[in-house]
Amino acid sequence: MGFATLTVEEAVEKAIAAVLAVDEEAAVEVAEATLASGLDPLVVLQEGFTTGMRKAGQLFEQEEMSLPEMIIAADCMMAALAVLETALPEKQKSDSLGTVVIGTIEGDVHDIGKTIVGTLLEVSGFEVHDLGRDVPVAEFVRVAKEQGAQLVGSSALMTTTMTGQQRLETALKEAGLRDTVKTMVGGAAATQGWADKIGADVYAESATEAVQRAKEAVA
Amino acid sequence: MKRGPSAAREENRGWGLKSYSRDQLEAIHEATLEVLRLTGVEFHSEEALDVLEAGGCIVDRGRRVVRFPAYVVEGAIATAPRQILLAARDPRHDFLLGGRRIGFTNFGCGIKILRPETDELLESTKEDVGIAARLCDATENVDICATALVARDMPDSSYDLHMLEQMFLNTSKHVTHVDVSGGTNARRMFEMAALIAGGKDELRERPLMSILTCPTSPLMIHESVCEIVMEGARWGIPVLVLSMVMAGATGPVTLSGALVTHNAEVLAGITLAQLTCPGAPSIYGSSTTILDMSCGNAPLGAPEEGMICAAAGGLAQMYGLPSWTSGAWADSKVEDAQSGHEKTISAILPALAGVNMMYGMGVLESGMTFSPAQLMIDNEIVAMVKRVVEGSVVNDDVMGVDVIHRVGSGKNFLKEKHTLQYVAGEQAKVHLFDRRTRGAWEKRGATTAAERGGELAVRLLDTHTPLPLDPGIHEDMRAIITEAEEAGGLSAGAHTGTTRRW
Repeated sequence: MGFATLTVEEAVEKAIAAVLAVDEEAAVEVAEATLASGLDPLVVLQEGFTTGMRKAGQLFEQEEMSLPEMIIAADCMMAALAVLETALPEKQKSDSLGTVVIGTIEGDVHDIGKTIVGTLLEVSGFEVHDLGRDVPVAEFVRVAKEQGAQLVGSSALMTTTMTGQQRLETALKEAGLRDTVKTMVGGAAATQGWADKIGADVYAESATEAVQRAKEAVA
Repeated sequence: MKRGPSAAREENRGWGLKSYSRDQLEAIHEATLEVLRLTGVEFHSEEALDVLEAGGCIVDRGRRVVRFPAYVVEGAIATAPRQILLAARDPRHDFLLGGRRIGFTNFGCGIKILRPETDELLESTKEDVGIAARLCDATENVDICATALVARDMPDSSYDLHMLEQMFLNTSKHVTHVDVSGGTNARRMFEMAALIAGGKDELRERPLMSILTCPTSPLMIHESVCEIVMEGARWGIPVLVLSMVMAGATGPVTLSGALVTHNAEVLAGITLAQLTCPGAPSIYGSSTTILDMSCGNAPLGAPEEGMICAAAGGLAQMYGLPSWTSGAWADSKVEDAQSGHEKTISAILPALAGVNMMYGMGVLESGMTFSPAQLMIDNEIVAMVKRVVEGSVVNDDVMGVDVIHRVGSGKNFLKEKHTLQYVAGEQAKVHLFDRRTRGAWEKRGATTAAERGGELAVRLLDTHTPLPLDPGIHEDMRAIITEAEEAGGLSAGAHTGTTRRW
């Protein structure tokens, strides 16, 4: 199945449909057809794929789409983006919502929630640097500085490791970065009270709420 | 009338459930051996890698991955004891773990307490750890006492030691520590317990405490977990290696697939214990469950979770290992219809499968909250679950056919000696659940089970005094804690002083 020349409207509609159908093959075909038809890749990306992803997020919040479907939908969008990127002048950082550094705090190896949040932030339009698990505080600071991050997110499952999130706040201040970044804390051990106590800017109860709050924080 | 004895009549003592067949359990075991041999498990400890390599495992030092030949795993299963004594400060509370005998306890490492007196939801402190322990000490169907809450107001270097201090002060039942920070503090804990036991050898003979430690799924064992397993093995302290695979997230989404990942992790941990010290008391543990694909959380009150626990029990029995799974758990945030259902379904499935210890009493919010009122309700639920497992006896005296003849038609059995003789064994004692007519219930205040549970918890806490701990021993314990703080520092703790009106 190949597409003939598409109009912008057709490309946008098919892009949204491919994401919501979690069909990676279709998503890539739409992306290729976009380029072959000489359409503006940025428009199809933003009004098509990104819109599709946003709708997927809403469906997930309403429990009409499951977590695996949403994550695979994100993969569809990333696959389409990989094709469209070849035609974009350069990675348009100015169009990114912001740069995020995210990781599981030192001493802690639980990372599934953090990984889901990272994926959702990426498909929502952030540039995400996921440092993985057991990440030293100094590493968060180093990468945040290097990448000019707007948001630094840390995850902790355990009461003992969450105090690392407090040390991260201090380290960001000492590095002179605290005024230019927003901090976000998550993980089972974290609560709004904890975020307030350590001075973190953002806390959210769920992955999709995290994306919403992240957008508000960097706006 | 004479009735002669019956020959070769099969009896069921205790009721149970059929989950996987023996062949299916063997298939899971074979799949597990394949995973352990071909993919292996990551161990983040050089010392553990040394022990495993010396024991015959294939170790990739660069990736810290250990692959297990089948004979090493099956050898470890063989050297682990079938039954374990969980000793108590008061020997009347000693508990024998093994076979298909069931027991229940509370959980674990909650961070909030729902105070029944004030309906406040508070972040847990060291004092709360003691309150929970004292309540568990007073509660009949809590067979052993686990730490219920984390002392979030204590320093990182010693919070787990403060928790143990509260446990030994407030209960004379066997103590299980669910939140041990690592090998160094595990050792300090064992030293604290040895003070009570009267020495290291005495503690090995009568382990007054046990500890729980968790692999990280999939297929990874963190450094602190390695240390805890090895230290426990050396001291002869029962170590519960308990995995919590989230099916669909950190293991296959299928129940049987999740069990394979789970089984590989637990057997890997137990193999480390047995290679460190053959014959070390090792307990096979599971809180493996599904990842709810709508909300992205891992529900421990889900029926699938109960099924997995039952199957884990089956695996442990096949191996001849004592088993310990979640049971009487709830994801509900309040004491309501959801929590009632979750507690029961998560308890009755592993109980009927003969799991040796089920933890979860007192839990709300998937383990994050400890509720004294819920603990009272769970006490009753557990009594009823135990009654189901006990089953029903069929013999001439019990059936009482002679009594049926004598009473005949139209009369009743209320004042029969037979009724008096058997009533206590046949019916679970139910105090909190109200089975009266509506009018009678209204006359007594028209209360909910949660309200009655709260009142009972408050009453127990007001009146119950645990067996006192010798002050000299207590002082020596505090010295161990002080030494830990001098070595590791006095950080402020994570407590935020948050309170919420419920």
